[in-house]
Amino acid sequence: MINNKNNKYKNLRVSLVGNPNTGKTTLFNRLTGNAQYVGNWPGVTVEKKEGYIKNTNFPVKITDLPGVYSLSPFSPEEIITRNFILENNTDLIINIIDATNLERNLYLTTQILELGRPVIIALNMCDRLQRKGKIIDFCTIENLLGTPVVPISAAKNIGIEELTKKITSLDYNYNKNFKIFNYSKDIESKISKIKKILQDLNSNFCNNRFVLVKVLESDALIISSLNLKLDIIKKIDEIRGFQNEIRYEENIAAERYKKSAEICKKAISDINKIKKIKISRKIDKIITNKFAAIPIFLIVMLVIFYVSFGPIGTFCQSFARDIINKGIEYPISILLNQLKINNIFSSFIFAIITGMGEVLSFLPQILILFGMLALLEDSGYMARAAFIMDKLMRKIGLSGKAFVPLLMGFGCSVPAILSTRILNNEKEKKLTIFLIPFMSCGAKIPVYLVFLNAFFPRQKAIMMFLIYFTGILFAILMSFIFRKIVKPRESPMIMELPDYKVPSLHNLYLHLWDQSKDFLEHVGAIILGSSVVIWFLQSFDQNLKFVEDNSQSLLAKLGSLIAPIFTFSGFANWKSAVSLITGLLSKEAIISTMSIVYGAEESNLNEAILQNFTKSSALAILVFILLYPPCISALAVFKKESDTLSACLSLVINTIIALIASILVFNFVL
Amino acid sequence: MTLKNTKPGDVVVVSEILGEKHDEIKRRIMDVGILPGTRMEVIKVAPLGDPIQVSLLEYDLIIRKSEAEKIVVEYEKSES
Repeated sequence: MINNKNNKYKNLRVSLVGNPNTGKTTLFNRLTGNAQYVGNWPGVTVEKKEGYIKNTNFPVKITDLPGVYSLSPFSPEEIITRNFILENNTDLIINIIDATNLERNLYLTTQILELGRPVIIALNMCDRLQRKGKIIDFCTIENLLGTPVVPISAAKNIGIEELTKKITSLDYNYNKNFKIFNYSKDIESKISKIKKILQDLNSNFCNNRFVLVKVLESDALIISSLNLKLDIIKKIDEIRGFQNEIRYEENIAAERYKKSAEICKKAISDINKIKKIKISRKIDKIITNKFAAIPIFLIVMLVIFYVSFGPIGTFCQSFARDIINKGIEYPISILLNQLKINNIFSSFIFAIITGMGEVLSFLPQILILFGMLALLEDSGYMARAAFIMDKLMRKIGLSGKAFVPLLMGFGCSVPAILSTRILNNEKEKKLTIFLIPFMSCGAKIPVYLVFLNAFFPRQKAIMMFLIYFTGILFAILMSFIFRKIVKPRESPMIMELPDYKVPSLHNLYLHLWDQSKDFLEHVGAIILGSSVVIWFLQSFDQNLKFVEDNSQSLLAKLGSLIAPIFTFSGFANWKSAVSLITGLLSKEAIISTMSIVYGAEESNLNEAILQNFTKSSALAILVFILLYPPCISALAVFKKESDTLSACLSLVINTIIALIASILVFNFVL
Repeated sequence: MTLKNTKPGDVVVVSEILGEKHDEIKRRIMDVGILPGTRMEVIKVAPLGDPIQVSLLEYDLIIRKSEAEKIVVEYEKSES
């Protein structure tokens, strides 16, 4: 294969560029043997991912860049991809092309070739094209573009070896053969004039045709990166002619597409002229049917919800809990007893184990939920869901796809926030994450039930409904306020509708593996830290003396310090305050803390609550619990999926809203 | 007439994309292959009335009516 002496590229850097939904990530996984999840949803790779190509004689680093239709400077994906290639980060570009969609894919290729870097074209899904009754002649494409073309099938693992061979054995001078395509005379003359100006300035970019074309299009990012003086910019403006940017932008795009169409015409031939109606269209006759679409969508959501958070999910969670209890916590407690280690140390170990156990017990439920979401995504249904729900979701400033994470929020905020990854618009993702805590999570249900049993035993169902409804109402209100303040630009919804496909189990496995690793790594660290803090607070008093009775602890002190905040909400005592604080660890902890601090068994908690609360203060604390910040696990993923500032902001805003709402409820309701 | 005014089943040809200088939406529309001369078939309207599904260049695209409004189209001349 390759001669090691010839290996001047000790570290070849390759980048993978292509349209969304062309099998880019699948190819990346095939080349690297890496576990990167792939979705049948345009835009799965929002950040770039890196790996090393396997079976090469020297290290070849490959970067999977976000899928783009073009190298325009508008969407974050486009900017990431474009900057990465322009900034000299890559020795070779692999341009993956979906053969079933050749014309649109070649449009990107015409831009990539202008960058003047070595390019290998990986022609994917030729087999699918054949099933459509067409064949593609890749040699024609190779000749027309003057760059190597390797036919592959990423999904079926065909042609990967050949591609790897081509990558490692490429003659890197070959790009002189590029058949640079010529624009119309007018555009060409403008390009050479701009080239002349840059040449006179000794600019590094004077030979980069892509940059020259972008300057002609008056691409603001490129022009500012060239650091041109004002008089030069003026000169260029004169060449372009005033007010002509639009014309050039449009004409250049049109000529590129024309070129793509020409290549397409020469390279693809029909072998089977029978025009079949696409199978996807037939399925869509039912799935996106005018009358059936919404009921089907709701049923799908209900099934997901039921499986994740209903009996199956609950069973899995308690099963995991059991394993952790009996398999980890119990043996360790015996061990600690045997070793007669002092109280402080053993209580420390315990706090950490229970904290981590809490997180681990989430994992099965998260895997179930994510597995099902992955199947929906991989099969192509998710794109249909966005199509169906878009109009409704736009009313609260989101697009159709955001419906899924919000609904998941009723189960658990943690997977719900993680599932916002399916949104490819950064701002929309942030707003969705921000709204998720208002969807009352499943862990709050026991708290509601305890209070409703005590004060509203007959109106439980209607009260539950009202609680959930209040949460949704606040979410709508918050989205409205958020949009008034931030005024996010509504991003256009121009999205490819992929064909349906049978989900791949290999893919599902990769996805779940990836997600669990991620979840445990990121969230685990935060839980560990906070468990230590809470352990410290409830084990020591202000003289840093270890206390057995936690009513003497710093936590109790902290509780009485915070309690006055709830003066106008009707539950200003350290006991409720402490319960609410531990509720920040996990919402399940509210009830267990209450039973400890009120000195009651959980069965007698009813009595204790009746004694310590009134109807009004009970309602007030319920509203507070509904609206106050989510648990630390949720905040951890919140931070992970957005940023620290947003997570803190949400913490503050939710606290304030919860406080105000509880005061209003205490004083004006009933 | 714009793409917004079409009905499912219509086959249209794009004649112009409306938009100002450096208009992100216009650029995006062009980048996915909708350019003067492009032939499109309107497949369906979402159950709630927006967005619409069109077919062009061998693939299907979802586009909101607010964006479809920027695409000026005319009916394809019949080849008889």
